[in-house]
Amino acid sequence: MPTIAYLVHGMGAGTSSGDPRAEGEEWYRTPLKAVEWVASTFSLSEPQLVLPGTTTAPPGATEPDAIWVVPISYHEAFDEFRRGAQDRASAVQGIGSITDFHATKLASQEFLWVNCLDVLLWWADRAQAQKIATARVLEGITEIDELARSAAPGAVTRRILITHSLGNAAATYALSHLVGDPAWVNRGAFSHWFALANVAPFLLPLDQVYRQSFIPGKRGSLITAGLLHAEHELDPFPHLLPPRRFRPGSIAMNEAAWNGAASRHFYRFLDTRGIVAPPEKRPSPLDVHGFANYLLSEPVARGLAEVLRGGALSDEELDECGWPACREDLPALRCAGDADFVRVREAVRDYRDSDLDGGPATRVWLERLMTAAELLMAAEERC
Amino acid sequence: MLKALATSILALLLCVHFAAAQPGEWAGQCVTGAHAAPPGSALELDPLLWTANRADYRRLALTAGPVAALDSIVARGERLLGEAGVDPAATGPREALHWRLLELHEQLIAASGTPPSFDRAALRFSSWFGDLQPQVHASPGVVLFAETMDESRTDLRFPADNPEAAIVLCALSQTSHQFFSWLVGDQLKAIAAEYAEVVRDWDAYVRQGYSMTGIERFVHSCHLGTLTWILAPTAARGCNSDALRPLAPPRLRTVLLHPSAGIAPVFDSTGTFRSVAAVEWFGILHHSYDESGVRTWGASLATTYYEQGRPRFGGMFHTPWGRVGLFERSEGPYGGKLHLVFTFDVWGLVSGARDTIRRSLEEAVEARVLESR
Repeated sequence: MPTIAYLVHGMGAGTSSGDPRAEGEEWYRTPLKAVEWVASTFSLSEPQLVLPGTTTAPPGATEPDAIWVVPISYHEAFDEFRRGAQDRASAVQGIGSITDFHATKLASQEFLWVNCLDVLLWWADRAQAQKIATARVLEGITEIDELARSAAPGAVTRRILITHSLGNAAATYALSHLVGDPAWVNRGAFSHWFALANVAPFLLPLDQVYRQSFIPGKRGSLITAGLLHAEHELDPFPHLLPPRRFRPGSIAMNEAAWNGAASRHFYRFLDTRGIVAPPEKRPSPLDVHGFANYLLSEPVARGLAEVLRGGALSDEELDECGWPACREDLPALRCAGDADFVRVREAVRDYRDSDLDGGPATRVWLERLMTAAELLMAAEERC
Repeated sequence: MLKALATSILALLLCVHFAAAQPGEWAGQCVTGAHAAPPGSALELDPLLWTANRADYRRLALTAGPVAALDSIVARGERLLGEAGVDPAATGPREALHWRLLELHEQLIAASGTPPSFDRAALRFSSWFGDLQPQVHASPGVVLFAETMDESRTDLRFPADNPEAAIVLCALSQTSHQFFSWLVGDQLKAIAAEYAEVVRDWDAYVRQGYSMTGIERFVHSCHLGTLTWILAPTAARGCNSDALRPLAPPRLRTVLLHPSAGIAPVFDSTGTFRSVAAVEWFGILHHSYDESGVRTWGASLATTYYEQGRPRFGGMFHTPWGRVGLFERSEGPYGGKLHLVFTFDVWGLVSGARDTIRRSLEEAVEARVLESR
């Protein structure tokens, strides 16, 4: 009777060469450690890693409190491109009518090549990369659901979606396909969706992002109980195009229904702060956008614990866990109070407050995407 | 007198006992499906629960029809609710669940026909029942419960002193959800198989299909509006639709400005080959997929370029066994002969060759390690 937590990665999960990461270095190792920390802090059962392609259920699958963590990978779609790109700059020419300036920049900086190229390809290469990515997300979700149903036939199975950064767009697009599968919709596909640093509105039409089927708690929605949307105060990426940032209820797209969901706490905005890493890991300024940092933030970690255990935590229970003081034991960013870092904070604030007009023209958002990445890279250098 | 006193003491003890347990625990058990009666209670949930009676419910559905199985679940639930007693706080959720089960009962009759003719695979039951699975509520000791007639979710509370009615209601709702999930089980399995097939076909396409250059990917990606009809007519029809584009790899695709390399046999006494570069200007390919991979047929207009002499115009034919081109005759040392060219998918070869080289190196290292042992 597992609770399945699907982790969908954001940009930068692959490698510069396009080759697979070494064993133990896979993108999901750090977010998994974050989920493990949440589980141990709130005395939940130990999360089990279940990789897509697994054909046997892990031990204890039929226990009501079993937690499966399922990493959903789709970066192979971009790695295939990187593997074939002998001359990086010329390989990206023509994609999304990218300018020479941006192509050179993308090709010359490793961080941009590994991270920003994913976003560009997912958006521009709808013929191949986007379809492969979507198919992989849907295969991973449905395959592990089948495994759970066969491991514990007839038992209660709950599904939680945890998406990060580009993973929000990938999941939004994938779920748009799942809407066409009545059996998945009618049973209530996911109980909760944790949308961390959501960039979907920059890459998808708004009628897809705010569609009826995603309004939590509504009849026929894919999300039956809660959409928790988190943004870190220093993360520039959810503010790529300020007029289009993810703000359900403030856009004229099912506005009343989204506001209704918010008033009943089905939709919640979580403002996150601080830069920490799971035990034995070292945080870096880049982690303001990191998957694990989001998972370990105070509101996300608590919300995740409540969903995984199946009930809200009372004040007494939180006291028993030592919450939130116990977060102070996590490795934290040392330079967070330095003068240099204060300047980063100001730069990010300026970035977020930029008054941009116009739609998602490639060169506008690509420029903004690279600027956001460079802001964090500069912070990394100063720290 | 003594009897009344004993009853009061017992009631007080039970009350204290229930109060000692956390309403949050019952809410958690409800959501995760670990249904259990409160300690000290005489309530027996087993006759209702799906996990304990799955075989029974399934047999009933298959022999007397799914409506009979649902009726049996509801009857067992009602009996237990009678035993649990009245909880005024649970009246709203109870009415909501009652109404929802009645609604689903009617929809199930419409979908399954007249019992006992029932074939689960053929059942086209397509009604919303997601609200029957209780979910986490923002407040401790409460769960999100069934919808009312105006489609808003009710809150089911687990009172510390009298949680039995709420526990039974939760068990009834979960059991009903599990029953409906079982009814659509074949559909869920088919959906998973469908997506697995799409990924398998994409893997085959990337591995064995004719690769797409950056330009080809872009023109197939519907960014060019009506120009797509000219540059990639095979993709254009899908671009004009508001519907989501299908996820499967292409069955028909356009080849556009696609570079490749090849060899041309020289039909003379030397029996040598000439190396050539080729560009396919425009062509159409058809892909078919099965478990063994992808098969490609198609043709394109192309030009070949040699180290000597002028470029030659001709056509390229794509077959499942390779690509062969026929080009106009040329002058020079190799002139006057039919120009037959065999080409390789250079674009796809780059990544494929690197994979092959890496695998070979890994195998070689592994062999050396084994040898040294």
